[in-house]
Amino acid sequence: MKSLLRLIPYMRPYRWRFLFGVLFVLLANALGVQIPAIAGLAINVITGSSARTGLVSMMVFLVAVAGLAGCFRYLMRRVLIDTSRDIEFDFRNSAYRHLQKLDASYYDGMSTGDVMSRMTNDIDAVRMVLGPAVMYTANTIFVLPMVLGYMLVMDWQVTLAGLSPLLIMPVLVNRFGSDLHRHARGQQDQLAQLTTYVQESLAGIRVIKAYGQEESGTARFDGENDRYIDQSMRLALTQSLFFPLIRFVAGTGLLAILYLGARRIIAGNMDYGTLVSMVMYFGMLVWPLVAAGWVINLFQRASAAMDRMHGIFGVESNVKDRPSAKAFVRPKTPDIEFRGLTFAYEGAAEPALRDIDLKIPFGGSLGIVGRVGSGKSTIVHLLLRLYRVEDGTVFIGGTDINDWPSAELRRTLGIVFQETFLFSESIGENIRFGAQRELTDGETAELARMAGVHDDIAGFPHQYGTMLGERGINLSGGQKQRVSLARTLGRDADVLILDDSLSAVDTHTEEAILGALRGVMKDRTTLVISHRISTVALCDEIVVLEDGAIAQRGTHGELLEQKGLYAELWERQQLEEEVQSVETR
Amino acid sequence: MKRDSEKRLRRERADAARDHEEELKESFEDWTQVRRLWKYLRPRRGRIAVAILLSVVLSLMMLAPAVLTKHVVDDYIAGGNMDGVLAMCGVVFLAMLAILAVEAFTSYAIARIGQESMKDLRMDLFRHLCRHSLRFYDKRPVGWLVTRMTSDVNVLNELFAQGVVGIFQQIFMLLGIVGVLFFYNPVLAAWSLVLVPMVLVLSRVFRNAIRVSYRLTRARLSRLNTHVQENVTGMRAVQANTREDAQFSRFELLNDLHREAHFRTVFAYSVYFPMIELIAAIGIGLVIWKGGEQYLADRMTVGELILFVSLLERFFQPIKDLSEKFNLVQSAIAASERLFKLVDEEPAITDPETPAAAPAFAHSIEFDDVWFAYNEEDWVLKGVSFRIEKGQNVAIVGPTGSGKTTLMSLLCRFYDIQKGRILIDGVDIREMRQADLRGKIAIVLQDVFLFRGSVEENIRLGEEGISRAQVEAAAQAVNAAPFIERLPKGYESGVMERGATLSVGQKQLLAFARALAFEPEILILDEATSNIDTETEQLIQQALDRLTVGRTALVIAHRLSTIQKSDKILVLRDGRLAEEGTHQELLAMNGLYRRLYELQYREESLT
Ligand SMILES: Nc1ncnc2c1ncn2[C@@H]1O[C@H](COP(=O)(O)OP(=O)(O)OP(=O)(O)O)[C@@H](O)[C@H]1O
Ligand SMILES: Nc1ncnc2c1ncn2[C@@H]1O[C@H](COP(=O)(O)OP(=O)(O)OP(=O)(O)O)[C@@H](O)[C@H]1O
Ligand SMILES: [Mg+2]
Ligand SMILES: [Mg+2]
Repeated sequence: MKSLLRLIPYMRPYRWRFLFGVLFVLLANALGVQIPAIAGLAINVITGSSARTGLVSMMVFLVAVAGLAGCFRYLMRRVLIDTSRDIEFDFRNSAYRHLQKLDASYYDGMSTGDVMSRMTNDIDAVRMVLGPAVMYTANTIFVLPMVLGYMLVMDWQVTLAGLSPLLIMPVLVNRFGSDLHRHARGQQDQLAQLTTYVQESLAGIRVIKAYGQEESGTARFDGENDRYIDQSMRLALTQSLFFPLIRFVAGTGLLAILYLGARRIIAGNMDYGTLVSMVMYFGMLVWPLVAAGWVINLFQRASAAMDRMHGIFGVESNVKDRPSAKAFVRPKTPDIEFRGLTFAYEGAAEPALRDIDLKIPFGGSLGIVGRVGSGKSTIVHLLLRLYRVEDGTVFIGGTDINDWPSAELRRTLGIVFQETFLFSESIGENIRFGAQRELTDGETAELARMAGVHDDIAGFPHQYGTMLGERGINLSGGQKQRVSLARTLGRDADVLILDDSLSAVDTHTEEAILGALRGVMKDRTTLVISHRISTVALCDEIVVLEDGAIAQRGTHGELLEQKGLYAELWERQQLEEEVQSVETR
Repeated sequence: MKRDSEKRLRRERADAARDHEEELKESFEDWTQVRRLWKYLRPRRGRIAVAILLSVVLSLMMLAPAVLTKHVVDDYIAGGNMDGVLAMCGVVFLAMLAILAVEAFTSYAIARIGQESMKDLRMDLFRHLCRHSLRFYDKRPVGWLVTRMTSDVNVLNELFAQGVVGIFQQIFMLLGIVGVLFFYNPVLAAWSLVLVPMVLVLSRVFRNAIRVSYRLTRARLSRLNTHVQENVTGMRAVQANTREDAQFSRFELLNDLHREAHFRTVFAYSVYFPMIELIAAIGIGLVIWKGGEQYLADRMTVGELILFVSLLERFFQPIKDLSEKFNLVQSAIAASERLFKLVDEEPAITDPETPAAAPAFAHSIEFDDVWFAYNEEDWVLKGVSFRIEKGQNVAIVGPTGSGKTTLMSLLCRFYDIQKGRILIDGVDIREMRQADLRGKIAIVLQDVFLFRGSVEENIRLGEEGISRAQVEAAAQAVNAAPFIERLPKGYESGVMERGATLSVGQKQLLAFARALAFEPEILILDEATSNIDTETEQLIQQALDRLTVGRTALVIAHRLSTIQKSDKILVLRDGRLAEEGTHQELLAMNGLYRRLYELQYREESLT
């Protein structure tokens, strides 16, 4: 339940609305409790205990009171429930904002389906507590004393007798509350699991189809569904005992009133009208009580959901800006330096990078080659501060990157990631996606031309207006890479980083692109990663990574002399070509 | 950039407006959809009948206390018979106990029925989705589909859990109340029913109002979800491009539209509920007034008066509930329409009625004048013909975007071609079962996809027949074993969503190992080594040479060095087969291949 306290900051801006809403609840109830009194009075009038006057006007009065109460009920709903939707809106926005701030280590471990489930199902559960639950709670809080007051005045002994069964309520709530919470949590977790499974299966449908795994995938889905049913039924069992029990307890109270009331009437100490009023009043108590059970259910569900939301809000980004970052001035000529950088991913057995010392002067270029998994991309990720690095290990423009504000840092770096991600928008919008100023259509086309993809795009029926599917599904592998390259070029950043970003492009096109890029690279700091030695050969310096450490460094020529891994790689790439060209002569 | 954001926001708004219009003009002759849900209830109809019966009994039993009260008042209090009162109270208590038991049992039973039916529905949907061809998926965002499978199905679950049985219960409650009222005092009963038309009109207005807003909320929720799904998966791209603010304002708009749709619902409720309560008050007023007159004329007892007052209070509860149930039904109709639209869309690719027999791959693969376009007339492949013999190692090269991947997708029949034929052993692939066809083939897709689970599970997928030893052998062959063994738990190590914690090359190696583990008759490699270093690549090459003896392999690669040994090279250009032959033959031809080759060779020796 404590987790619900975290909602207070979201409620604070709406405190006046809550106040008014609660006021309307109060007014609606204050009027509502008059109705049984009037009805009781009327029956007394009829049965002759009181003077038989103005029955009709009494009824008109009754309807008028009910009408006025209805107006307040309208206002109460509008104000309170709308407010809950407003808070839901704020809350979801801030969850999204928070997600945007989280670093890569969160995204490495999360599952999209789970996040989606939190962003909809769990937020909805939280919303229920802010709106309906608040409304019903206020209702109960006001109705109870008012009704009790009336009843006690009418006949305190009968009232107390009627209330006595209710003493068991706290026991019930205590007994069932924690169960409700636990099972609600279990159900929500399993629903997220189910969502994750669906999400992933649909995202990977190509693989499933290609390998004919539809059957086995369905079988697993069946298992997930069974687990979900299990969890849901546990919750259902608790609920189907809890609510009828509350109704039963309330019913016993009513019975007590009826019995004692009957005695009184027989003994001549009570009139029919009073009994009717008391019965009606007790009826008014029963609903808030049942509602209370329901509200408890809502609270438990919401607190379970808040726990799950804490799985988002509770994650602190490792790469938050430092206070000192405010006074930061972006260097004009950012160079890059690594000083004794050693880095291990969370949960990894060995460090991914060891003792990296590198320096790329402004305007210079560095090439990185190395085997699969040797740590090349890790260097790029750390530069971008996707993960947290130790102080004093990575510097850009002479400033420790931990002292940079992230936004500035990212504005300085233009990265083409090894894996492309395009958005389901038009190609033009995708290219302009990262631009730091408005780009004209001409400039967009120019970027595409530089990335060697203009001709492809020009061949599409809608050209730059072609809408892409999710992740750019309707482009070929090489087209995706080049659009993504154009997007990065559009950032016009001082540092350009290419992480194996032409791997799906044929040699002919690659040659053309690299040629065009050379002009751009002149006044930028460049980092190029590739498996093709030809791509990095022209860099000012080339390093060879092996198991996260720098095995060799130097210019292309120097490295060839060194007879190490680089020369070996080069030879391998050469050898076949030569063998073949000899053969063909 | 700003222009784009504005354009995008405008587009979202236009979409939202269109949603709205569509919802408005949707036909409401939609009971057919709900009727189709019966299919899922049918297998449980016995239990449903029992549940309905019990809830009808329950609703009648719930009237018992009120009726008994009447008798207490008229027969015992009036007669001063305290023992009778006690006895009656005892009866009421027993009735309540019975209600407790029946209610608990029924609500549990109903929940169970609902859950089970929903599972069947979810399974059906999932199976159906699996049958859809890739054309279907090309156009549908995953987030949208996920919303269908979860949110929409949950709405239906609510309908089952509360609606179906609840509706019967409420209706019988109403009938019961009306019956009791008429039994005890037809005249007064007639008077109290004066209000019914009013209630009906009100409920109708309410339902119409709520109908649209329900659909609207669902439509907007899926937009919201689609956005979240895409942005969460692409968060790195958002962050690296410092697009957080722009993406947020988009999300905010979608969130706002979603909220707005809910506001409509809230408004409808806020008007409707108090109105019903007002009508109830009028009813009570009427009964007391008319009943009072009757009592005074000695045509009615006090007990009856009390009975009428208390039952009339109850009378409006089921009506209110029924309207809520109607909403449930409404949203369920909206949800089931969307769901069944998915189901009704026949998969573009289906198995033939009488599939060809599926013997092992024997001699050849043939493309015969194949024409294909993803969209209408926008031809991607234009009359491609070639023939591959069993056991051949064939390379497919060509500039990017020339249609290589497409060619392979067609061979797997992910899409159907528009003209021409694709034959395996002389049989058109459209005459085979898809499972038989794909069972012959293993493909390493250009876009690697890994699932959550362990390394081993990713290699074997769900295939029980692949042993651990085979998994390890496959990993060994692609040289993935060294890195797998260095992971904390080796083959049992967890793989995150899309393999987030592996290097790109490592992912590709796993996908490669997967293909080998399936020991296919036809192996397709679509740029399977594009992110892999030369050394590893050559190790793989050697292993492949061993493994693919006698096996047919189709290899797409940009690095020509990897394919020179192929038995045949197909050069694709602009969707046409430009050249075909062995390395030597192609070089001799002096065509595109030679140019590609020389370029690469020159470049590499120059530098
Ligand atoms: N799912 C799709 N929907 C629509 N168009 C598509 C789709 N997939 C590919 N295309 C288009 O078809 C053409 C051929 O694409 P394909 O993926 O076959 O090229 P490719 O030869 O494999 O190129 P690459 O070497 O870059 O991978 C491209 O112009 C591409 O934009
Ligand atoms: N997010 C992560 N969490 C844990 N380990 C990781 C993560 N990302 C990468 N690794 C591991 O760190 C090592 C270096 O990975 P990195 O991506 O830097 O390799 P790479 O040199 O870019 O390889 P490739 O050529 O395949 O792209 C690999 O062993 C990889 O498994
Ligand atoms: Mg990498
Ligand atoms: Mg391709």
